Amino acid sequence: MAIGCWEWAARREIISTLFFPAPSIIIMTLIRSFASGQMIDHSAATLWRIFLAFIIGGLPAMIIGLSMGWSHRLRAGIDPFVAAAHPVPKIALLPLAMIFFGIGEPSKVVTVAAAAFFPMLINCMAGVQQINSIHFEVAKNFRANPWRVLTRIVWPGSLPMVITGARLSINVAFLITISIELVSATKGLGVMIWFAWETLRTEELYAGLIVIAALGIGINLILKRLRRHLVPWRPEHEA
Amino acid sequence: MRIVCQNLSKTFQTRNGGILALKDVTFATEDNEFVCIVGPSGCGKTTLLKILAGLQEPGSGNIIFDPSVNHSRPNNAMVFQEDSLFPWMTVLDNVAFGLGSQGLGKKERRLRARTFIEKVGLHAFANNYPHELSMGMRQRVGIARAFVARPYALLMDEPFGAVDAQTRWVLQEELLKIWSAHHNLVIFVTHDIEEAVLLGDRVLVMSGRPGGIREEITIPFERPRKLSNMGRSQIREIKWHIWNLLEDQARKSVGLSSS
Repeated sequence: MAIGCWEWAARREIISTLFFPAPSIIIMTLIRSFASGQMIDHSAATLWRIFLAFIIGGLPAMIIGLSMGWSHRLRAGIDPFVAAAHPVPKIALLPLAMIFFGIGEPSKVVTVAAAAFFPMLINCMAGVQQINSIHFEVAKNFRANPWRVLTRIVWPGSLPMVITGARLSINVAFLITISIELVSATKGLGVMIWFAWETLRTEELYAGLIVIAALGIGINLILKRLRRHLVPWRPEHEA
Repeated sequence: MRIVCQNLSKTFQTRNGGILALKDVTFATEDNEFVCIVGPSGCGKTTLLKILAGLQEPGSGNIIFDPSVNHSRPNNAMVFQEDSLFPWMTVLDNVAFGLGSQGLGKKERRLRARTFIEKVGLHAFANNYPHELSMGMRQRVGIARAFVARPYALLMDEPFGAVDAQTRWVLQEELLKIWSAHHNLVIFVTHDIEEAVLLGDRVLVMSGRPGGIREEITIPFERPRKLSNMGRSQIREIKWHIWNLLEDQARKSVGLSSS
């Protein structure tokens, strides 16, 4: 209904097509950009950066976070550094990263990885800490070795929060990736919408935003599904 | 298997200095005896049990497991007071966890776990998660997990404290039945005097903080016991005796002066 009105108003030029191109035009642009492969290239570039950043930022964060949650001593040693580095807006690291890693891909991925690192680390650490200490007592009483404690208690007990950490981490990575692409890149969804703005092709701008929104929703849906699949022991209302 | 405990003391460090929780606890069990420990709240019953279980360090004193045992069977397994099942494991996996360190294959572990799940009457729930079970059922899983490990000594910390009265009756009878089939030493901590008298061969009465053994009472009832047809008057007599020992401290622990 609203889209119908929008379409009608745009065609009669009651609203400016510079701000609000007709939905049919946006959809045509969307289809055309997919057909030409251009949209897929941009999306792939963005997703690839998020993926790499998650691998080099999120996974180490998971290992360090779980270890910190498990070991008091490690936590006491590393926590001050985390507390100091966590509040820094990671996008501000981009210029520094460019000095170290050049203006190519590595500096971008490193900056995104830095952003993806902290939500993962903090959630993994909290995930282990919130495990009831009685479960560790049971393990000790039944003489479980460290490997068993890790695989049967630490990992499954913290898994719900590990997944939450992964979701936050990927969302932040997405945000920072788009931001970086707005300022410096040759490919990616951020580049695409920035170029659309510079050339005042508003319908392309909208098409880009639709794809960005769809990707964001899609990633979160997948992780929600994954959680339901991996954590069947949590009653739904607690999840 | 018997446990000998000599002059066991334990002090907890707090910000306001040390608190003496246990002082010179001395007792010895018979082979495969069912020993109940009662005492006022806060007397260190749970601390004593956790020290026996190796979960806390003793401050001073000796604990001897006699005979000291080989490694294929653990010398003790504990049934905890609060809900101690792993919420992320099914009933079957929770029980099988009791066997985890005994070098058995997964198949063998599951087979043995199933046997004990059947013994506590939960075979229909083997693949359920703990949150789908009632409190009494979860406690039965905890008992199965401890029994399946075939420990020489079973340490039970108020295992029926959180279940309703009728369920407790059923569980007490089940426990006696399983115990009579397996004959391990049981040390059973409870705050319920009647429970101690119904279940134990002997009742150790503890004094208030610092906890120590105040008196040992031998319970004269024959085994096997059927809880419903035991001599009521005799039970009442023993209960009164224990209550008299505990009364002063029970009053003290709720802040009343002794009458």
